[in-house]
Amino acid sequence: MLSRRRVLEGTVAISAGCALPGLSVGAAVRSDKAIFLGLSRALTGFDDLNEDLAAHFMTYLAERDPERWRALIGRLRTLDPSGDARPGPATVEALQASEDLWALAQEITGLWYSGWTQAGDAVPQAIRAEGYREALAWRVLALTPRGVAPGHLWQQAED
Amino acid sequence: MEQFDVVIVGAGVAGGLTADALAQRGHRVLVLEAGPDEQDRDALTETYFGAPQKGFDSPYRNPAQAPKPTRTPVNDYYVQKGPAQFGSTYERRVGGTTWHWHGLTPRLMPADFRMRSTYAVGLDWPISYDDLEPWYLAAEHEMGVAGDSADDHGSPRSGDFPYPAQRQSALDLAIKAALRGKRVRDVELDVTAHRAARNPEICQGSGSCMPLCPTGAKYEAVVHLNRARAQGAVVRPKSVASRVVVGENGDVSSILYKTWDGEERAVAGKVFVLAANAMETPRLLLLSAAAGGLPVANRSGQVGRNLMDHPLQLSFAVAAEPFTLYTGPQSTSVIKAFRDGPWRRGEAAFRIEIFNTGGGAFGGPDRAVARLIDQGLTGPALRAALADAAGRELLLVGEAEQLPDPENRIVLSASERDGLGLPRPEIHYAYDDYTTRGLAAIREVQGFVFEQMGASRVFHLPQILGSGHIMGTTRMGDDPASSVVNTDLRCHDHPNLFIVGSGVYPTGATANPTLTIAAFALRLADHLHKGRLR
Repeated sequence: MLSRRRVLEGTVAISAGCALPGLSVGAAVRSDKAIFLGLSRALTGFDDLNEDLAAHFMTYLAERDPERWRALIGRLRTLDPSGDARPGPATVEALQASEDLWALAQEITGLWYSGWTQAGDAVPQAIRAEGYREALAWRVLALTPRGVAPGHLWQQAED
Repeated sequence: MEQFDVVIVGAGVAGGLTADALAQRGHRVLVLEAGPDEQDRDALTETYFGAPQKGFDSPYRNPAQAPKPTRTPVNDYYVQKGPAQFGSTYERRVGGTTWHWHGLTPRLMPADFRMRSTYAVGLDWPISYDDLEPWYLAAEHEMGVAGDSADDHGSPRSGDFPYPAQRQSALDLAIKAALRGKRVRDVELDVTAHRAARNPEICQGSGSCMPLCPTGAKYEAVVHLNRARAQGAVVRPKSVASRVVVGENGDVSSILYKTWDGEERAVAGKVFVLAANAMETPRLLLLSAAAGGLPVANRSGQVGRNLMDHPLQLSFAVAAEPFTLYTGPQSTSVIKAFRDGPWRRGEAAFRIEIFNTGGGAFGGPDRAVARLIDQGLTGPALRAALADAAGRELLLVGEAEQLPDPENRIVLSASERDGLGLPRPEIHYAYDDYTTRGLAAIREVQGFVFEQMGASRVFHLPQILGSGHIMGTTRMGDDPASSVVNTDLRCHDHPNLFIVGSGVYPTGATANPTLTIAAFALRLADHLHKGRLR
């Protein structure tokens, strides 16, 4: 089960494992998160992603398959060693060259769009609930998530 | 031993309305409920949001002491003996299945009460539509039903609905326009607003009537149970009725129940009402016979038999133009033209509900998301494609009539038990040719509707699902040799034992059963107040 504390611990551990020479662990933490958020923005088409949810996704993916997670982060670092570039179509295209990494990128896209629908059952209920509420599909449809009252009467709504 | 005027087993719509009506008239009422009393809507909503799979049962827990059948995922509470799987579920909790119901409240039609004499199939009810009509009207007012009073849908009315009909969705109106003047199977189609126990002055169209309305606009039986409590009734959750005890004179003397920690208690009453739905009520009667060595309410041998549902045929298609879906009450309109007609001599009648849910009845457009991601879409292209695709997901749901068959039945499992050691229900269930032909007719009509809309990629789900409309296991009739209760819902065999719920229906017709259950509950309460409880 994931807790917020474990999420943070996991993020540090992941980042420490990937830290580059000359970078502090704290810098690496920011760097991993920045890398993940940059990729997520490119994959989803949304710039203003929920950073707490990003941390949950990162921890989940890294704990489930650490090797593939490290490979993804490593590949993204290689694509942009300076960290100055904004991930975009070229980044996506580069990941498509690897079946394994592309599958992970597609899973990340699904996590953002649908919450935890395609993830395992080991995610705590509260984090799942947050993922459902924040699922990007609702923003695409310009709707409140199903189960959240939209704030106006159906009788007077227009569709 | 504790003593009440009335002991009711089951805190759902049947038990709730009966308890409220009797408590208001000064009777001492106890309601035993197997499940918990959990009414914190925010907490339930949060559980729903966090459910890995979203479905009817997602917000509600499934305790070992009062287990329930679930669909998401399918569990093993029912011991299924086939050949068909019985797919309908229910809730065991204060408020019962009204927590997760859709809120639809059509009445039965007059011919539904006369299937044998009109169509030479099934059997006639021992009461008529006219007998029940005043109670239908009373039930509509108790539950707060919205509907168009000027259109009786073939069920004559003596009064108006308390609320005007809910607004039809843009999808409903588009289908209505596409079907204008069109006929299929020699029947003209129309799309009309549902009758629904959803208060239009509160309903925000939150898209989750099933499994949980976040605003309380949809009627839930806790309305009446809480009101009964305010009048002095005792509602006792976590109390699992395990035996109806019959005295030497044939009267029921007490009901035994188990607390969740396994303690057995007894309660006495002048009158006992079993209102635990058409699965748990026959189970309790069969448990009672097993414990006491003699049949309880089962001289006819009909307890547990004639299990019926409204088998569902789901059909999907892709609309030519996108609509605003995934919002609003999950269904706001019905195609009702096939609810009654001469075809009922040979095949099941049916209703078709138009769903505003897109392809996923409970969560978000996850299938569309997965499909588009699989196609390699990302970024702005994915956003645009999803906005379009999710609005084109059409879903029609046909609900078929099922005739009573004594071989469709619930019995006690000889080997499987629940958390309190009570035998679980074992189900023997099949669809006959009458229903199978009706399901084929549904596919034809739903395909026709899609065709008129210019929709493409029509897909009829091969699996037939349950509608949650469990009926017929304690049938009503005049003859004690072939029925369990009489027209007053009194068990033929026990003068002070009554059954209320859809178990008493001799036939199933096509109406969602809850309004008829409610009408029966109000009628029973009146009967008891003026009779045995006077």
